[in-house]
Amino acid sequence: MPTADFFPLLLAVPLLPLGAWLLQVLFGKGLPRGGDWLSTGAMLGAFSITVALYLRAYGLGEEAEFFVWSSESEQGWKWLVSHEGMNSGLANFRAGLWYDGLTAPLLAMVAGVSFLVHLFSTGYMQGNSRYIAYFAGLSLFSFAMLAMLISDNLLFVFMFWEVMGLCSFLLIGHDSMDLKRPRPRAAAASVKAFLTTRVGDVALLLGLAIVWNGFGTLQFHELAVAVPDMIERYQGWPNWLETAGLLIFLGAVGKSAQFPLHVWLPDAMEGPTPVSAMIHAATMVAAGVYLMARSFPVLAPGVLAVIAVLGAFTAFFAATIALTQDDLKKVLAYSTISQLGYMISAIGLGSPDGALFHVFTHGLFKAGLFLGAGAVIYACNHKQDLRKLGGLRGRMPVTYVSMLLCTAAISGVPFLSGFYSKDVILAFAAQGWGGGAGMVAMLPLVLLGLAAPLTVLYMFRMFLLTFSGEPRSDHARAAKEVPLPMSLPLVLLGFGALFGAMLWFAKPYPSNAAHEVAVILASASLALGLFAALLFFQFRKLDPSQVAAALGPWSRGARSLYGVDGFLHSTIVLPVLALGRSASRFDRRIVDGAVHGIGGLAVWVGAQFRRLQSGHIQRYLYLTYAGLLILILFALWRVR
Amino acid sequence: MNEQLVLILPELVLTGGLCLLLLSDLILQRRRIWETGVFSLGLLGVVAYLVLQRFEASPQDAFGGLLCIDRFSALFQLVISVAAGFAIFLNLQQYRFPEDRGRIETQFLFLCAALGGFVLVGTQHLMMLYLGLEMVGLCSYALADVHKRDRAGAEASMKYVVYGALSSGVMLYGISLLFGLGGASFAMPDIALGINQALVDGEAVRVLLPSLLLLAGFLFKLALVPFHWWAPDVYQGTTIAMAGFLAVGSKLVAFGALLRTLGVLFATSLHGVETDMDLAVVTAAASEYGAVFGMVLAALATVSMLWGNLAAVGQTHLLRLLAYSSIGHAGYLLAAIALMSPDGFTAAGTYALIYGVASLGAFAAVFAIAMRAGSKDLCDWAGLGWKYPLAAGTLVVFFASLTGLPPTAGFAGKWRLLMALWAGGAQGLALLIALLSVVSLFYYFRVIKQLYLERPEDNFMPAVSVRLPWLTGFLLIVSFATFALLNLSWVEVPVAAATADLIRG
Repeated sequence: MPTADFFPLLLAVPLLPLGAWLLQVLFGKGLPRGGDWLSTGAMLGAFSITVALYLRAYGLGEEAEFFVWSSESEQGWKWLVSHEGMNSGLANFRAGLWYDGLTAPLLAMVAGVSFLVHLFSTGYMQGNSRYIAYFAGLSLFSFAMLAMLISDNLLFVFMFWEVMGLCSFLLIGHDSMDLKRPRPRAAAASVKAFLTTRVGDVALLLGLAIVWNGFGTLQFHELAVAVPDMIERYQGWPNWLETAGLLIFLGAVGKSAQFPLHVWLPDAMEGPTPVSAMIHAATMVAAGVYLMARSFPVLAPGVLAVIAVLGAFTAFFAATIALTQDDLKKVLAYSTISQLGYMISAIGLGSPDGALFHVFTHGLFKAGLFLGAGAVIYACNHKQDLRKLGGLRGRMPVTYVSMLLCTAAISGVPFLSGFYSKDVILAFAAQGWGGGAGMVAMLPLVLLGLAAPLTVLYMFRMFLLTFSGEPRSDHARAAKEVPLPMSLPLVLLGFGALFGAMLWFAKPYPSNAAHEVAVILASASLALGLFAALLFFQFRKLDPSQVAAALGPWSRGARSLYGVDGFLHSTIVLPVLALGRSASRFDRRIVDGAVHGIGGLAVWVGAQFRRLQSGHIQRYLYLTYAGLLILILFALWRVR
Repeated sequence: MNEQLVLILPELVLTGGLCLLLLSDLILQRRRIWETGVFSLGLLGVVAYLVLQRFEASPQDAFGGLLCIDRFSALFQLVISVAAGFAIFLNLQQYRFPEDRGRIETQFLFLCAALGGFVLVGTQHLMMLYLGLEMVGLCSYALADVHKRDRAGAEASMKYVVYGALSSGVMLYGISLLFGLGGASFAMPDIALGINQALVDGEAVRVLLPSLLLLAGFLFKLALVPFHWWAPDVYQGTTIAMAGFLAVGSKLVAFGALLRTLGVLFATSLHGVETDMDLAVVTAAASEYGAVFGMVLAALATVSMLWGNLAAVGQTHLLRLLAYSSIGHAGYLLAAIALMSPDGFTAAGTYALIYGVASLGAFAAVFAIAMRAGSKDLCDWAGLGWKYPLAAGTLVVFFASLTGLPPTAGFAGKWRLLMALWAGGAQGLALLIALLSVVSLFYYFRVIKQLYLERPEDNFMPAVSVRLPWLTGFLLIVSFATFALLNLSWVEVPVAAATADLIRG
């Protein structure tokens, strides 16, 4: 592949939204329509480039690492590189671009979804009092994700990861500063999202430090071939690799909303709905999975086991909560957590390719679902309670078809995109990790298998309650189809849900036997879930509340989110706050006192120096000769 | 003889150009300050281009060792060309303000000072060195009060002259002693042999005293303690363009000359040159002496960086503040030189160039604000950041770089410096520099705070509103460079190549 002309094109992909962000922040007020066309246009440009690159890459087929732009070739960036003799420490950090068979479709998906979200927002956010700030934030968000996807090293991934954390904070809390209807809950949700992911970020940074210390590099292609022969460097600490892996994983737990740090994601629904689409499909949460997939070579077997089980558990756990939610967006939020559980579990099961495959297809159909939900909410005058919706099929036909396709895709209907990617994950689960057998090795399969029919059930519950039956409120009765800038993304994403799986190059399946198990499992769960959903919510042969009563405490637990939020609040948030208050007292009284004391000393000494600077040249000369004399005496004393 | 003249083509072109410039002042009917300014800048551009060619050629001597044509001299000749160009450019900007009409002599003197700098860094001969130093010095004395407008300028010039005379006398005394030591020769390689002989004979004092006296001239130009007293007063009294030239051009060129002098005179302790004496004995004596001399330099560096940074803390006059901070930066440079090792020289050179870039930018940005606000005092600068967003914004970048904050080149330069100090066994100095960076953060960012966070006083109205498009472009370019040079190898590789030439023996 001729790499030289790739470089500027690839670099333009993140720089376009960055430029749009900069222009909007600086000149947004002066631009017509607040410059939404600028950021949307920039995203369209970035998307076109990614598609062009994708098409060129597609011709090269499944050769996964067909193109690596690392800093090995001379066109990368070197940072603090010294030419000689400084090969230790933080020296010789190099950064470059990275583009391979996994990046190609992901980059195009992220750019495409971001573009569609931008386009959708031009309709959805119309009339918002902070329209410019919204689009600026969206552009920066897209920039960070795109830049992260083409970084060739973990440090840059971490930097853009942090930018994304900031953007999610700004966008989730966007409505809290609305001039007409400020929403304090949005502010609380944004703080929660920021701080919860921060817990993971701190762990991640520590993990990266250990990896750097152990391998001396953070570049993917070097990590992939690196051998952890540095164990003697950590005398008395043989488990450093495991520790690093767990710390990195904790970063992904925060970002990709895995149990127990998943609590921020449902709250993040306070943000505008297109932002949710952005966070859930293209950016934020996908970053955690991407990080794990890229750092896969350094994950120790024990860490992989933890990842597989925790991911599978999250998938099941969130699915049960999703069943009980009445808020349209909350159902989707828990479904995201559940699907992320699948992806994370796939990493643990040894299939980073499968995980990214699911990121890809999930990005398409989850963006469709969220934008569809946004369209419903927009049409129903910002009502999002499932109990107040219903009967929208005839009123919003485009949204209906698009949502149906996306719901079918996430449920795993054969030949739709979600079917293929989930199939890979289930196949790896059926294989068990390390090829081993036994109860523990099969645990992910059991949990993921249980989550599969639940997924179908809660998704079709959401779908049927929204679109079928009779409207259950005046708002739903008055709903009309949304305008073109909003419906066009829905149509395109509907197609994405339909054909998305074909766009992924590499489809790595494990052995045939495991694959057969997966197909049978997927089909059975689809049939089971669909049957139950239709029975409950379409034909109304069964009453969900009776089933809930029969399940008793479990149902109540799921409805109260299993008390995770409250538990975290009382065991972590409150003690940390108390610690913070006492630390603040210590800081004010003792640390500040010391700092002011030293600062005062410096100021005083400086003032004495300046007093000598009297302006009289005669005195200067005296002082100079005196200084020279002292210098000579000092030197004579030393030379003896 | 002919090929010798070709070797010094840049110097010849510069000399011819500045003669033309002087003649034009006589011939032209009225003052054509812009035309001559463009001519001077163009001349410097051509000279810089010719100097660049020296990077390609192999090192050689011209006129029997009076001038050395190598990459080291080329590097610092480029620096002085840029600094002189900067000063001329800033002076031209100054004529946009009504009270200044400009003199062609200013441009002539800056070019002349540049020529002096060319000689100063390009010689291994003590007499030529002295001539170069005086050439830079005399032009600077005149430039310090070239406008003859106010008493402050006259005072600055007066102090600078007297002070310069003092240090020049001291230096000359040192040179005369070294002349004797080198067997009646001014050539540094001869003197280096004489020094080795004296050291082997166990007469270190005979070496120490003259070398310290010689050092005085450099200390004066670099504004290091105890030869720093002139700096704040002169920076305050003279024009900003001249202050910028003093802080960058004259300082860095003296720094280059100091590196060369040390590199040649103490070559044995640096890397062991061939002599006809027993090498082991010479090396032992020389390295013992080098350690002592390094310790003296380290002591000077410590005092200078402490003095500069602490005295800057309470300073409200912008140029005095920059003067003190430049004393501190010179202290950092000397700390790396004090390692008396090639790595230390490279680190110091790298830091010097990065300091030079940020410093040029800082002086230009201060000029852009101070001239339009009509005040160089911090108290009058409240809230001006919103009034002059570009100048103030770029000033933040330059101050960040001078402090050594991460996304700017200053961070890379300081990092390189600290690594060299740490590896060279001067951990204490490294820690002190890190600490003083915190102090410098305080006084640099006090300016930023004043620019952005304080409310302007109602009764203070900026006097002139002048558009400075060229200066704005300059500020943008330099601030871009300040970020771009974070890629340390762009600076370090040429500097390392230059220092390699320096100690070719």
